[in-house]
Amino acid sequence: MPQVGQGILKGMGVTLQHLFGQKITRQYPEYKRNLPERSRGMLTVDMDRCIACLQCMRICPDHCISIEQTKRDADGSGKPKPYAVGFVIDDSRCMYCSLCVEVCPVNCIYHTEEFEAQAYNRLELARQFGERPVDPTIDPKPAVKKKKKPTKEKAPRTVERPRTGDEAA
Amino acid sequence: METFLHLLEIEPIRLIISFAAVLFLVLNLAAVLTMAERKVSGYIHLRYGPNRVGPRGLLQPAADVFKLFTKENVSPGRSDLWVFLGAPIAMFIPAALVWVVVPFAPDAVVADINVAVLFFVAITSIGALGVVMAGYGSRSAFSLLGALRGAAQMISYEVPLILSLLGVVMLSGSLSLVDIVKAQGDTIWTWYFLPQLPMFVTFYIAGLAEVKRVPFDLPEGESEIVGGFMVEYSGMTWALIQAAEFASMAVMSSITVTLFLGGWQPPLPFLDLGNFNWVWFGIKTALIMFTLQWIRWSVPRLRMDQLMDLGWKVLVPITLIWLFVTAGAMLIF
Repeated sequence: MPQVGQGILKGMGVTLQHLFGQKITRQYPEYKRNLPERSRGMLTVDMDRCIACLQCMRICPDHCISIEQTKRDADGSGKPKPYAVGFVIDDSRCMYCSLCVEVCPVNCIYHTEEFEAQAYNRLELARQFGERPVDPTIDPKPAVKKKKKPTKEKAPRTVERPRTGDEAA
Repeated sequence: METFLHLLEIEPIRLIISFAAVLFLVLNLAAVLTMAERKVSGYIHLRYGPNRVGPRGLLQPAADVFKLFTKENVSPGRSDLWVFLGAPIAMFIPAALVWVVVPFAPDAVVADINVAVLFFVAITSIGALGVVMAGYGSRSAFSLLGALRGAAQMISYEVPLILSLLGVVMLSGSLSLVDIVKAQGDTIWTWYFLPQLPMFVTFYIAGLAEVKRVPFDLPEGESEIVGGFMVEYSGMTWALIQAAEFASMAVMSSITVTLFLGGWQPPLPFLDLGNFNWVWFGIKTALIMFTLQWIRWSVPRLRMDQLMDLGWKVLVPITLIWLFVTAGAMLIF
């Protein structure tokens, strides 16, 4: 009998302490916490360092990077080299897998700490980096060596990238 | 101004104006209480609660009401529409009507009925009708389950509720709430909650069950029967049910204060504020309402059999015993 209600009273004591206790809510838009090291935010490209090797575009599982490549003598060495005139990262497709960052030979594509990707239109999420805008709706196809395709695959083309099967070769 | 004040003393006009004022109070109280509920729950959860609309979130009730007004009112296809739509009204009107007999200050009561306690008991039991109407009219299994639970619970807890009133009625010798408040005196140790402590606790618990607050919220039971009797309601009908719940919670607090905690009487004689004694009434009622919310966020829900056990095997015997003790004490002293 003396124990009747003790649990309830104890619980109510705890809740009363919490009522006056320090709140743990972070007021998000006003207060942003420091992101941990190596956190993956939205991608960005340092176009001065980019050598237009197209590796990021090839490895991207979501096809979110499109690069328009030309030959240009950008560094004044008298020898035209590959140059990315158009570079788009479509954040509506990106899944922050960081494969492009790992594959980049000159470390020019990297994650920022920016993570608030919001827009009224899906196309607004495609960020252009080059001199010339690239249409992000067109599925980027890596420049693979053209080989004779088997005639079987003449079927109607879909948006999906045709599986050529010779990428590894 | 003078003529207007004289107009207030003519009988039907006084009643109409004061009743309108009480209704205004009840509706606003319901809005403020939803806000208070969310704030208290947030603070107990170590959150801040709503704090975006207005300064410190104070305009949140206005935003809620605006949202609910613009929402569509949906009813199930084969519902009994008149019963379905009448249920929120049948729930709200009793909760608003009881305020008529509550004395706010020495002479501030809408209707000084000599059977006010009986009026309170009679009117609050109509609330069960609203719950049953809501469950029946919705033609939904969960609604009906909730309504049946609500009917069983509210009718069971009427018994300890009424029995726990009787001690106060015996001590004061009156059924009028004005007389009961006057009989309690203006010091804290002459209020009835001390000689009637078991009755006070019983009344509080039974009142908690009567207004379907959390340890006894089986009719609603979100975790089992999703929303109970109010599962099919939306928009303003749902808002009216919520308003009725909060209004009946406020009514139960005010009646608890009136019967056991001295109503508008100040806790010590030198704190008497004259006509402004409604401040004391407000403070006490707010404290009781806060304890209701505090309990809501601390105590888990009872099972149906535990609920019935508590009502019939604990509360009713306690009240009966204390009735005899009170009667014996009155005979001796």
